[in-house]
Amino acid sequence: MSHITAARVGVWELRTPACKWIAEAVASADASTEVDEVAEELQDHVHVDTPTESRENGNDTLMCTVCKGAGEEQAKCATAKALREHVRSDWHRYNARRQTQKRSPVSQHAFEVLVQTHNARVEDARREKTASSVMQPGEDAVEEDLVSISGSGSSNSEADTGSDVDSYRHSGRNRTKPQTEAGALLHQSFVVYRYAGTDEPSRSSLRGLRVWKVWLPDANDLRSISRLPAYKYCVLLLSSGGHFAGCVYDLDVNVRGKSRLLQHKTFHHYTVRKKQGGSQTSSDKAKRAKSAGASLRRHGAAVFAADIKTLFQRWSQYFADAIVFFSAAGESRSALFDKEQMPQSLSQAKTAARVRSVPFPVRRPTLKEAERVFVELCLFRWVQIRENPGEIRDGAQPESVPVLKIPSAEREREEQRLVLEESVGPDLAATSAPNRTWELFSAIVRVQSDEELFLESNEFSIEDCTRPFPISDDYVVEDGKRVNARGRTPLQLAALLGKHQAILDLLAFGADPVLDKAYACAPDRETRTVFRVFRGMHPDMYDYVKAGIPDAIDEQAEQIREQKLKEKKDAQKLKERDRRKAAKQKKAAAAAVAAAAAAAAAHDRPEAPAVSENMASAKGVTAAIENKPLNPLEVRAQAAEVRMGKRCAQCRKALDGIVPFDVESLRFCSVACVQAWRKK
Amino acid sequence: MAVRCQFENSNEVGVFSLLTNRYCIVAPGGSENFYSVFEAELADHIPVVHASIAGCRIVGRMAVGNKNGLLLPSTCSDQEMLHIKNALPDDVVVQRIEERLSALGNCIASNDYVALIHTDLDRESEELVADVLGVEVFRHSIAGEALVGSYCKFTNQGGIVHPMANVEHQDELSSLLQVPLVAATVNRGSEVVGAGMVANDWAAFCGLDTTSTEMSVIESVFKLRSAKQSAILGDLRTSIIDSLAT
Repeated sequence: MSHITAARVGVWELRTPACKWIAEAVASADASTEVDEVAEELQDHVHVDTPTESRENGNDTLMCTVCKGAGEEQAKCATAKALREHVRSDWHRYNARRQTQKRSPVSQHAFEVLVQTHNARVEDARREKTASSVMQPGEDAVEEDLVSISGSGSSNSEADTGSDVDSYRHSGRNRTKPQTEAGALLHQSFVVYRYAGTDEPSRSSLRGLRVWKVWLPDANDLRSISRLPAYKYCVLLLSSGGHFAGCVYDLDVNVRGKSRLLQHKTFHHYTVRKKQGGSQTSSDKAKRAKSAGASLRRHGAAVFAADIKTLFQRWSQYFADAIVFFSAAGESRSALFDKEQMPQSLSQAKTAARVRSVPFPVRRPTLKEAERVFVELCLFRWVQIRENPGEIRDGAQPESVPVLKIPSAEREREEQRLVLEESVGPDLAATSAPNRTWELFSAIVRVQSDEELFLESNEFSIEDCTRPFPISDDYVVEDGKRVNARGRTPLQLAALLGKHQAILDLLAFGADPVLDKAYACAPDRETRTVFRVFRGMHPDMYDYVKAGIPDAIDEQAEQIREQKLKEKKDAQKLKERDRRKAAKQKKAAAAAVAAAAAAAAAHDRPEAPAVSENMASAKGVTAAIENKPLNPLEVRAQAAEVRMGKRCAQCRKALDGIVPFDVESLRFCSVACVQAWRKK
Repeated sequence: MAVRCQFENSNEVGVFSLLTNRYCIVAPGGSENFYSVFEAELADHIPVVHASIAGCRIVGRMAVGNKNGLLLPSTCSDQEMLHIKNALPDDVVVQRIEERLSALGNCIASNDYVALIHTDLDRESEELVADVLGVEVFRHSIAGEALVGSYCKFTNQGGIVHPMANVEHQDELSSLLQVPLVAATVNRGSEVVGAGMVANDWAAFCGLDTTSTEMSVIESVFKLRSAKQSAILGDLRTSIIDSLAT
């Protein structure tokens, strides 16, 4: 199965390491030719694979003409039934689709591999909320087809790389967006692959960096990333259904790993017809309704446009030096980019193709959503697929795996630079020390929480244990926790990850908690306890007061304390349960008394006013019924009792002491009554 | 019997009408000529209905149906749907379908038992086709053309496909559909056979331009002459036997 490790590299670094890496990688190998070569090789392979057989027995056996190109053996069907089965298979569907797109069919095996990879990817995308994906333009259509044959989503197959360029160059044109986030990922992002291991282009050894195409000056050409202009601001405009959210980010200022939010504004006006859907403005084009609601919505739309106008005027200074991303369709879009109302700076930005649409689906425009969209847009995401080597057999490479080949000597250098790209200082990168830091980093990440680190045997120095990590792969994901390792010391990292034994080992080895205040990083009480336990074991090793580590505790004492606490809690729970039970019983008893009183009241008559609830015996009551005409209240009470099965449904006789006859949920006192009821 | 007719100077009969074994839908035209041809042929057996779909007269290309049901595109209005529902036999299911490819007649070809559909149709639509029309559904293309509804026409008796479909392809299709197929044209060489004609198990209508060769191919493959032939054969046989006996 594949595994994706993702790391964030903010957009303010577009001009720095990640970006450079792409630019260099692309420059060092001519991307287009390589891609074509690989594709060609594979195409050849597919064709060589097919046994060129004579069609002597063509009359006897049926053959799927669609899948034939990928291997006659596989496409052969002995009977009509087999053929029908084949036509219903996903493999055939996929090939049929390819045929209409004038592309060659794929073999069954290649298809299976494709599906596997696709499934793994979808799964991963689902696991990570902000899904990452590994796509190349050539593969877009493949994935797109797979999505559609599995019926999990729909998107436009025409949207290849070429039309994507148009889509943001001529943003006036209304373009159908891919419906699913995954679909968007497939179309709208580039991933630069580089393979780390073997010389064979296999997926398992690929490592890639994903970039949204909208960032590139030329969406078709990844190499253009080196020409990326230095935008000062990023303006994000989201609008749909009368909701608007706009943000201005300062790309030059970085606050805690994010660009600074300079301005933001959200508002909402009533413009959309709730029941029929669609905005009032668009429905007015067909028929102008005269209802009060319609005029309200018209007014809402006007106010909405006016608000946008004033906002844009206020923000016009930003548009001049910004890249603008918008997400708005139909009416909302025309409200945003109204030619008369747009400030000049925005229209200039539009002509300079600095206004681009957000390449993935956006939910209702709110500030929170805008923040999410911005982060998602700005992510350069490291992507790596690791697969079980057994799953992909030789020669089963599906389609083309476009690969940028980087010579191996250069590769090592690249690798090192990648690891060190954010190193704390250039002198560190020059020495061999950072490598040790990297080792220590992976050791801490990999070690089980109760496993020892063996710092001595691995020959780490004390400096290694106190120096902050210069690692750019800065997110460690473990047990659902995401931890940013950049700039952290090993002890801090161990604390953050809750690796108890590693904390003890590091402390014992000499990692000073005074310097890095690692105690403050501990996420839970257990981890904090580890520090305190260490203080108990080595009371004089560090200045614990300065390190912020509270008084020492004995491990055993701590355990006993916890035990006690637990017992106390249990006792409390038990008490609570008893209390609740008692209350319930009390309530039930009260209800029973009330019901009995009600029953008695129902039977109460002037003749027998003193009939108490236990005295209201069956005989007495029935005798009274037979003799006296009933008032409506009594009739109702009796009917209720019939329903409850306490009286005969025919003669209304009380059934106390009689074994009743059950017929269709009704009860009768005698056979005669049943017969009478049936006749009725 | 196959009949030639014309809709307001157009030979594309299959565009302006929809014919199944249970009902026939005809586009409202300026004159009743077209309608009366259908009525004369069919009115004794099945309802012949005037209807438009989404305000268009190209009913044959917008909708698809068989004896079990009728699928309408999402663009069809409520009023039109109600009208069609009322006019059709009660046990024919009329259903609207949310599908991006809204010209269902072009994308789906069906008889009472099997259907061929466009390869890009949604999975949900495919299921709906199977449910409403009560057919087995296959995604296939005809001679490389994805618009299966336009480039083939088949009934329970037989069918014709795009003239560029080779023998191998015809074999494959006929074993899928389990009806005999031939590659043929209508309307003096038109390859859009689905749009050029309509047919059911006992009647067919094609454009006025259709040559007699094309007519004879159509009549033979849709088995429109067979009833008469066998009757003649039966009559002859008795008379021959009679003459032999005497």
